[in-house]
Amino acid sequence: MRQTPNARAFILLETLMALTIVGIALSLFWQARLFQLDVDAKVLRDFAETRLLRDVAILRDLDALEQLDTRAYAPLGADDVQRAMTTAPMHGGQ
Amino acid sequence: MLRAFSLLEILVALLVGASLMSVAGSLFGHVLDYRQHADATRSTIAHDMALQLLAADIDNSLAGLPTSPAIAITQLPQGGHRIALKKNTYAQGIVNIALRDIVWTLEPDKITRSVTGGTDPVIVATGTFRSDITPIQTVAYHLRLDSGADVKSVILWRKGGRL
Repeated sequence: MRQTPNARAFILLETLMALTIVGIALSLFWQARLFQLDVDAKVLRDFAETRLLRDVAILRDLDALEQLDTRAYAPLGADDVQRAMTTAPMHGGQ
Repeated sequence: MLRAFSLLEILVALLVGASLMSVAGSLFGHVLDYRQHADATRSTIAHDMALQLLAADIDNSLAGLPTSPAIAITQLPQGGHRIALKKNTYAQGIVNIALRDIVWTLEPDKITRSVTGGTDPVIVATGTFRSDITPIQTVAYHLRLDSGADVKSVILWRKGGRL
């Protein structure tokens, strides 16, 4: 007697589970990407802040604050630069 | 018994295929954008790190004799600057700390730092930029790095005061 192979398609539950797994993987990838962008932005801001505070402190010691290049501390804005110019501690003198 | 696909199955398959291609294409485009953005950000971070390291080196450099400056800044023939200073530091592969010459080169396509007794100059940052150094009251320098997309600056000043 000839036996026919038991061909079976995916059932709906299996398909939905596969789609869910793909969805979770894509969501994790997307979140990792956003997190990386966030970390990069924070690192850049931290570097710029450190540089700005140091430069302001030195220029204040030298009484040459007008030489500060306010465009050179991106991503910090003009407000941040102004705030640093009023709050930065002294560098320690010559 | 063999059975051909029905019209509905073919249409559903085409719909699913088109959706998958659309999602994959969009994802691929985003990944390329992200990579470009990440490369640009890393490059900017590397420039910031280079400026901080250079500023720290100069902060902690040792004063020269009264007649000689603590740091020597010269212009490179191919563009850019060379900054030489002396500092108590380690060299790569040598255990003991000692007074060594440190040379920074700000070339149009890279920033390098080398220590006497160490191995080859270390490339601290790469990219295309123009360096500009102007003196401030003969005791400090204003270093600007202009990469076209943005400008970064740092004040080069030594704790002892005299450069």
